[in-house]
Amino acid sequence: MKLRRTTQVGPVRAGAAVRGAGALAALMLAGYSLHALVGLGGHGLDGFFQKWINDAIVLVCAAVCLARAVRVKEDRWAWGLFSLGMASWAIGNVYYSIFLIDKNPMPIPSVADALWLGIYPPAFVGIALLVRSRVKGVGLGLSLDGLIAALGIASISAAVVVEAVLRNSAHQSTAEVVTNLAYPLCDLLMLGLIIAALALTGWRIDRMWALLSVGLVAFTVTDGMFLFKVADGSYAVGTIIDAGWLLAALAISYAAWAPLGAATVTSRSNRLLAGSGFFGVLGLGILIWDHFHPVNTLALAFSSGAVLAVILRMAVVFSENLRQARGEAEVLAQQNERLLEIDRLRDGFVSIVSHELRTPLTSICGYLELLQDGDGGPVTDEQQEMMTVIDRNADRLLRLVNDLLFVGRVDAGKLALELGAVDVAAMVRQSAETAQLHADEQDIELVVEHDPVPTMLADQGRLGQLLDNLISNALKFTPPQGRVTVRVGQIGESVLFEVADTGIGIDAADQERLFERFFRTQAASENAIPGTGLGLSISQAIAEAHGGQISVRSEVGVGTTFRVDLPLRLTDAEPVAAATPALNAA
Amino acid sequence: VSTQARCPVVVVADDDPDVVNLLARVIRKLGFDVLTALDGRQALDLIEEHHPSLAILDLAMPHLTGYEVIDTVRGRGNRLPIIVLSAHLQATDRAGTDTARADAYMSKPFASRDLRAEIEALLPA
Repeated sequence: MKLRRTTQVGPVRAGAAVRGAGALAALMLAGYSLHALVGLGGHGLDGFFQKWINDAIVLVCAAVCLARAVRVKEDRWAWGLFSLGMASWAIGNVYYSIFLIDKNPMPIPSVADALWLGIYPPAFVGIALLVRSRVKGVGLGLSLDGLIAALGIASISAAVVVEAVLRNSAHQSTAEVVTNLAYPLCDLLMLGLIIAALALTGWRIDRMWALLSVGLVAFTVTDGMFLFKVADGSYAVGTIIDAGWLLAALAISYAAWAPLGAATVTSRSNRLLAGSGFFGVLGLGILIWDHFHPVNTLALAFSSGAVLAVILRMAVVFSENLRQARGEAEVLAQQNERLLEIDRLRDGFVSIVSHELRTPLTSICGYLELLQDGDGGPVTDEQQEMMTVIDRNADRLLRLVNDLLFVGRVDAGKLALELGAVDVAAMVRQSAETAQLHADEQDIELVVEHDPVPTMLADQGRLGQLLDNLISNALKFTPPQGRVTVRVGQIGESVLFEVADTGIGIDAADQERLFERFFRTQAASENAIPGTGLGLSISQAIAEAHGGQISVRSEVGVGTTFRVDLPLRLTDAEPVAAATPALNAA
Repeated sequence: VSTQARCPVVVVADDDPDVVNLLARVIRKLGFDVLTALDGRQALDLIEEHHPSLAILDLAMPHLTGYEVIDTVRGRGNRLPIIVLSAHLQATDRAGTDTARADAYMSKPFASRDLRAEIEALLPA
């Protein structure tokens, strides 16, 4: 599953003062580093420079974080806490610079230690707050991913850094050992937290997370190196190592003003699992390493924890997959059931339309016929006229019902052709004869042109319906004195029907939608020409069911020609007769 | 017992009384006696009792469907001509009809001349 971005938030705009402070801190750090590296050849700095530049950088960075907390609402508390941690750090530095720098050996623990260790609690909470504001829906699996990452990195650090501190603890007081251990442990926790935070956001590392990670990693790594060197006795105040801490402060203060990252909903992502797998392997590596070079208990505990958490994580993945698979199967089954139900409903509907509409129509049409035949007594001319209207409308209703049923069948994929031998020319003549009455009424000339066409295999009823539709349309849209020409012929392996009229024509835009169900042209609506917009879609379905196609060409004010192209299927092995081009390609 | 030459009898069955009456009128005009039934069981009883020359059956009827009536009648060896007249059939549609069961199929609504043509085809004078 992918990570989904839920909220997009705007950039954070730092004012000139903040930008200036950030630039100043960076400049001071550059100067400090340069001086530490080049100026004194890697040896200690002199008092003034060490004391105040170092302390000023951390103070400026704390102020930059504070400004962020004050100015921008989002993540206010997190950055407030980071600024608090940095302030504690800076004050610790100042205290050290003023009161402790000349004391040798420095008392452990001291007020400075308390202030420096005061960095960690607000930083921990700050990281947690940042994670909470960005990651929604932290479940068991996700928490385990965070835990695995934290334990994995902690086990490595414990094996390296704590090991060094413990080596020197023999002649120290308990308070001293605890204080000395507190730093690497807190650093471990911090490192674990930041790794866990990155894991929780699915390793989607935006600029804020990148800078914050750089800062916190620089901080912990510098701490580690410092403790290592102190244990070694090779640490000197003001060397380039100190620049690691200052880089940390700078990066964190820059992170504070990085654009707000988008919140992510993290669930099972491959990256997340790969990350957990990696840290799980680190834990396992320590356990294996222990066989050759025994490591301290803390490292063992962390690595065992990481391995256990990975096992638990696997169980969670398995159960999530199982649940998801079950859910998907259930959804599919439900959808299938619903589709079947819809199908049943539609079939039922079609059946109801068929039966319940046509039964009353049977009585209406039947009794009307009896009345018209004089079975109910003598009929006046006026009554006859009225009954003609009833008859026409009942007929229209019946056609509509039949059209709807037809459409229902096409939709249900149940349009079955009843193939038989069809004398196409005779069928065309018959359709034209039926339409002749209407043509005469409207003073339209109805012409049939046909060339000999072999008897073909087709559904006579459906083809007749198609032809009737086209002829009736042509008559509807052709003004008096116009002409409708029905042509049939054979071209190669195809039988062609054309119904051409000299009617009002169809504009190009309407032509595209002509075969859509229920579509009626603007002209048809404006001229109140009766119709449902089903005829052409039905005609198309019939042509396609025969493996053919229907097309139209038309010019407004000139006329319209519908052309139906059907593959010629012969009724027996009789070869296709020499084609006589009955229809011009025009 | 009437000594007069009796008209041939036609049994008409449909669950819609209006349709039954319409059919009765149309068929009487053709010179038949008409017995009407409003469900399949009545239709079967009439056919068993009166030995009609022809039966016109709806398909969807209470108690016994048109097809069930036909199967029972045929099962008893009665070969009388039967026309199925149903609103479930469409004029342009012969699919779903079972020529082995009925002798002719017609859809509703019907034109009386078509009905007459079917009857004349089945009962040549």
